[in-house]
Parts: sequence; structure tokens; C-alpha cells
Amino acid sequence: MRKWIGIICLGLVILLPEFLGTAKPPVDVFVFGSTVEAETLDPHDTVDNFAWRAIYYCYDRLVKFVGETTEVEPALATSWEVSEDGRTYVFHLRNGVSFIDGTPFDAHAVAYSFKRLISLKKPAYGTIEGILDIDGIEVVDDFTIKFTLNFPFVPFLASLATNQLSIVSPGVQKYDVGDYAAAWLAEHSAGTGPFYVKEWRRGDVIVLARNENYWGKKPFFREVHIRYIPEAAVLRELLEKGEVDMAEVLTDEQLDALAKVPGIRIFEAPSFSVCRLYINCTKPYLSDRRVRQAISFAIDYDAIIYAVTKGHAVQMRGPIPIGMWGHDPTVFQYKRDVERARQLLAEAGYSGGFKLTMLIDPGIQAWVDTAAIVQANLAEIGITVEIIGYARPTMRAMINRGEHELSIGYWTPDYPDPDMFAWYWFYSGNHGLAGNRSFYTNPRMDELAVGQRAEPDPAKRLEMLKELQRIAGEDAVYVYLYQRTYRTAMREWVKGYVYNPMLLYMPNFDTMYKDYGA
Amino acid sequence: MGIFSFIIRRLTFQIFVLFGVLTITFFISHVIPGDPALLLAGPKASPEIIAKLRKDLGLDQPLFRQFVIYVSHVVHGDLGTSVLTRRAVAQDIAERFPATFELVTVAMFVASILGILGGVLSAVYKDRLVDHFLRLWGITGSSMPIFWFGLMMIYLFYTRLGWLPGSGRITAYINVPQKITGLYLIDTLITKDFAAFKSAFLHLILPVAVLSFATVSSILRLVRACMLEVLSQDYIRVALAKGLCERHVVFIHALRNALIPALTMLGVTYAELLQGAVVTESLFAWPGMARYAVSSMTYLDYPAIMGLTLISAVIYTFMNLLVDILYGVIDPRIRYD
Repeated sequence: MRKWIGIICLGLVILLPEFLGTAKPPVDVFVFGSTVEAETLDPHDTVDNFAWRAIYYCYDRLVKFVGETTEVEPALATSWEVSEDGRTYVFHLRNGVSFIDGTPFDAHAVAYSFKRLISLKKPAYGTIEGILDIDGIEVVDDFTIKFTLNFPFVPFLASLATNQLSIVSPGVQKYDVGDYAAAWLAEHSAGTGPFYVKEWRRGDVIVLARNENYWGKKPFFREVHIRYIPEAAVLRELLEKGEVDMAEVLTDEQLDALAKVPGIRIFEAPSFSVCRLYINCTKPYLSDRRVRQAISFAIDYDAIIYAVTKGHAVQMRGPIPIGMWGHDPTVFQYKRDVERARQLLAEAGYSGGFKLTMLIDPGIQAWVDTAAIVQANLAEIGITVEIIGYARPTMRAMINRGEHELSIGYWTPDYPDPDMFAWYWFYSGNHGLAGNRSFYTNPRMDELAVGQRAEPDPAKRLEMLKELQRIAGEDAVYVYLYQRTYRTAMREWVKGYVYNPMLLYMPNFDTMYKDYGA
Repeated sequence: MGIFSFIIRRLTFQIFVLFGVLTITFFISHVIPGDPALLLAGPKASPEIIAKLRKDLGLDQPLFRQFVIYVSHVVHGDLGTSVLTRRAVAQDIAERFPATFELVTVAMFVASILGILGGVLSAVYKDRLVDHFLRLWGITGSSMPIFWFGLMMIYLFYTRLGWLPGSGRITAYINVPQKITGLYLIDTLITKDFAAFKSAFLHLILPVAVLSFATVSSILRLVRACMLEVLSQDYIRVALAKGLCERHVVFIHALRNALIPALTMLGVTYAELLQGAVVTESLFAWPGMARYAVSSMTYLDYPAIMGLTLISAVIYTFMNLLVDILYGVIDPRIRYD
């Protein structure tokens, strides 16, 4: 027995140094750690930022965002013309580009790609649903394509830069088993982008490899590894150790702690991701505008922002986020005023108070915390709030049917335009999950919400948006809680990172680089 | 009755058990309020897209009809397509199961050896220093939260000492071993890819240590208790009195009898862990069954939930059968009838 222990110990002493140590990734391999895994990689299906991160740089679109702005510049289209009435768009396409599968890029490919998006009718289709139909797509010649919209839709050009309108190779038709190759594209890529999906080890890592025949500037990185690390605490260790170059999604506490670690940079910038409370306008009490105003006055915005985001957010001012075109900086902003709230409630005839329910998903800690504060705030003006928790699928089903009284949710725009707020949140045709989750109906607001998206004159459109924001505040349709600050952690050796608020969770893998000497 | 007819009889019976499990799970999961189409449709779901998704998922059919369709597919070996991953459930499970199987099997192997040896030592040297130490280990192991313990292990061996990898199954910079069995340790040896073997082996050490730590302590305590009982029996005293060597008496005469309850527990624990060691797999970013199971439940991914339930029912019944057979091997007095 003793002899064996001796031999094992000796073996360990000899072998250990050989075994020990963990490797820093090669300089031309970028390792991104994420606590959320992508579900599918089909750009015409998914509306999930974490999937977009993996595929955004595997595809190109007709246009792309310029740097950190929401302006667009040519990508696969080299130039374009828009008709007077704003309904017809003609795009001249880039010559000599090939998809990763070798299929040449031309107008037929663009037509195929748009038809695929429309025919699939998956969530990603929502971006152009009702705006562009298959009949509206016309191949003029091999390198010219014409879109005729159902009505003049101002945000159309900007929406072309989003992941949903990625151009997919018609070459995927060979995998079409009556599903437009959806099963195949769920785990592969077929674009013209700077990278392609080389391999997906489920539950582990998605490996993107550089497209050596890319038509634009070739990326610095040979490979990008998007590693799935479910535990944020462990992800943090990997970042500290340098095994991961950039990490998301970490908690605010972890980010605060990481900020003190040498060699790690915390990037922070305002985002368009907002949080609002839904006030179901079809329910008793809540149908009275004064009650909704009273609720908006009773909420302690600063307390919620502090408790939930540790201060990494700003209170919303009206429904359109600060920093987005169309936001009115002079619109009324509710501040906590308990006296005023009580007074409004008394005017409405409910000074004795009443009971409400608030629907949340208890799996989301931020919502639990917010609900607790809302409960305490409303108790002060005599409204008793009962918090009811359901798992996400159930909660969403209830909201879609309008069974909630108060509820809560996040909203991130799909394309960089106030339309994502103005039309989605207030148009009465969008009751339910589509966006109008307060089930609010107001004919004037319908006119404004529908009118602004078709108004080609920016000055006139801005006037309409101003009125819409004013009514949205006066009617207290939602409680406009906060606009989150986007925070991400990376090693200092990561260079060239550009944050674009429209590409949330989608860092620019194509133009970043690493410098270990730094 | 011979062992083979016993096995055949049990396997036939299993079909009914599985059908029962399938029926119950199907109806329970489907009557829970909630609609996977709404989750899938994303944050800004238009009614048209939701309706299309419901149709694609077959949710627009009456419940009973959905069940008939499902069962007829299962009979043909088709577990359906996952709502979340848009892939065949069978393929999803086939890809994840080997990872869990490898981790859990190695951990169970380590835990059984340490647990049984520890239990025997503890019983033989009752109330001596070894016993106190092992009992302390037993209590610590079963009372320490595995999540905390795992994090501490990562912090010590990965972050501070830098000896061992803290996450994943193999380093991402080498190619995944060619899939033969799906078990990296075995596949890398077959293909003689020793660099990959080393990486896979190193990646196993911490998760195995964490997973087996808790299991060891429960086995240890059970074996100790059983051994103490057996060691006080007359036949042990007789064996010792007639001059048999002590090691022989302890390991052959006593342990065989003390092992029966431990075997039952090992079988159940093994089956339980094979469905995914949730905490350990999450901590070590192990690409196994656990995360798949958790996400399929969160998102009411019916086909995946059903597929996973079916697989765990198979594992459980199979493990019970195996344990029953092993009873006979350990204790020849047990008859298969």
C-alpha cells in the first residue's frame, strides 16, 4: 500500500508541471463569453440579440450603420433612389461579390432573400410585415432591384441595416425540404459577410471563421469563439484570467468589482433599451386617466433605478428614448409627488383606495424588485397592489389577452427609428404582445402613430411625434420607468471596439483587434 | 426462472411504464397555461405571426389529436422538433447526452470507490481517528452547498493557482475529437489524439471532484452504517475466530452483505444525475443535458420536455433493472422471479 502511494505521488510530481497552466487565446482568436446561448442562427427567423451576435457579421445587408451612429451607408447596395412619394426604392447592387457557398451575389439573390423572409412568416418578418409584400419586389436587371412599398414607410432604409434583412444565399435552396432551408440555416450561415459559422458545439461554443474571400476589409481575427458560460460568476473569473476577451451578460455588482481589476475595461454608454410599466386601460379604475396619472406621480423613479440597476440607468422622458431622433426633450416628465397623486385619486373619486394586481415573471430579479417598490409606493396613496408571478410563457399569454392590470417589460427597438415606440406602443391595432400592452385606444393617437411613419417631410413628422409624446404623457399610458445604460466588460488589450446602440450585444467583431503588448 | 426470461419480462413491462409516463407528461405539460408560440414570436409579436407559429407547432389541433399524432411519431422513432433550437429533439439529446454521461459516469466511478472504501475504513476503525475524519468528511459533503463548493474550487484551482481549466469540456483551440462514442476520453484514445485526451482529462477533474464530493459522503455514511451492522453479526465473529485473515473477512464476507443498500442508492443517484447534473454542469459550462432541460422547461418547449422525460424514464427503468440483476451477482441467494 505505502509503495503504491509513493509511486502515485512521484508520478504526480513529474506530470503536474507538464499539465498545469491555462492558455491565453492566440492573438488572432477573439473569445467572447456569454451567459446566454443562441437558439437558432437563421436571420430570417430569430429576433434574439444573442443569436444576432453570432450571425450579424456572417451576413451583409443592402446598407449598414455608419460607425456608432444610426445613419446608414452603402453595403451590398452601392447607391439608391427613393421616389417622390416615398413608396419606391431602387437599389444598385455591388458587382463581383460571392456568398460563402460560392453563389454569386446579384439582384436575384436579394429577391430570393426577401421572399424567403416574407414567406417564412417567422418573428423576424415583423420588421417589414404589412410594409413590403412579395409583389412589391422586382428584379430590374442583374444588379438593380426595386421595392414598391404598400405605403410610404419612412424608417424603411434604416430597417434594411438590421439583422432581419440579412441577404441569404439562394444556394441554400439545395437544403430546402419544404422549409426554405430553415432547419439547415438554424445552425449554418450562408452570407457574404466577413465571417461564417464554422462550427457550433451546442451548449459550449459557436466558432466563427474569417471569410478569406470577403469583398470588404478583411477582419483581423482568424476566428471568433462565442463561448456559452451559464454562470456569470464563473464568466467573471474567465475574464479576470484573460481566457475570455470580452464578457456579457454580467450583473452590475460583478461589473463594479471588475472595474477595479487591472487590465479590464468597463465600457458604458446610453442604450435604447427601456423599461416601462403597462397600465391596462381597459380595466376598472385604470380606464380613468386621473388614476393612471396618480400612479405615474406615486412611483419613486430614483429608488427603482437605484435598486434595480445600481444607478446605471436614467429615467425616461416620455416614450421615445433620449438620444433617438424625434425625442422631445421638453416633454413632461413625471417625478414623485405623493400629494399630487393623492389629489388626483381623490378627483377621480377613489380617495378610499382600491386593489390592483401586478403581473410579473418572478424569475427576473429586476422585476421582483421593481414590483416591491411599486407596491410600497402605491400603498402610500391607498392602492393595494397584489403581486402575482407566473413563468414567462404564461405571463406573456396573459398579457397578450389583456388579463393583466399592471405589468412590466423591456423594449428594445429593432430599427433606429421613433416608429418603434410611436406606432408599436400607441396604435390601437397593436393591442397585446404586438406592443400596445396597455390596451390603449385613442383615435387621435392612432392618426398620429400611423401618420408619422408615412410622413416623408422630417419637419412635419417631428411635429406629429411631438404631439404624440405630449398625449402619451398626459394620458399616462405607461409608467415610463428608465432607459438602461449599456455596460460591458473587456480586456484592455481589445482595441477598436465601437458601440452602436442599434447593435446591442453585437460587438464589431469585424473591425476589432487585439494587442497583447498593450 | 432464468435470468434471460426475467430480463425479457421486465423489458416488456417497461413499454407499458413508458407509455404511462408519456401520457401523463403530455397532458400535464399541455394543460399548463402558457403558449410557446408567444415566447417564440419574440417581443413584438403580431397576431398573424403567432397564428402561423401555432400552426407550425401543431398547437391549433385539439389536444387529444395532438397526443395521437405525437405518439404515432414516437412509435416511428421521431421525437419531434424542438421549439427552441428548431432541430430534431433526438439530435439535440444525442449531442448532449454523451457529455453528461461521461461526466456522471466518471464521477460515479470515483464516488463509489472512495465512498465504499471510506465507509469500510470508517466502520472497521470505528471511533478511531480515521473514523472521525471520514465522518467529518461525510457531514461536510452532504451539508455543503454544491454551488458554493464548486465556485471555491474554480477560484482556487483555476483563478488563483491556474492549475486546471475552469470551464468547458475541452479547450476550444483544438479540434473536437472525431465522434465515435461521443465520450471524449474514449474517442481521443481510439484516434490516438493525446493532446485532446489530455485536454479532455484536465477539463474533467474539477467537475468530477465537485460532483463526486457530495455523492461520496452519502455513500460513505450508508456503507459505514451497513458495515457496522454486518460486522457485529455472528458469522463474522465465526470467520474471524476460525482464523481467516481480517482483510478477507471484511472485504469478502462483510462488504458483500453491506453493499445491497448502497447499490440501490448508487443506481438511483446515477440515474438521477444522468438526466443532467444541473448545478455542476452550469458552473463548469459543461455542454450536457442540464441546461437543455432547464431551458426547455422555461420555454414550454413541449417536444423537448417530452423527449427528455422519455429518456429519463428509460434511464430509470433500465437502471432499476441493472440494479436488480446486480443484486443477484452480489447475493446469490436472490432469485430472479
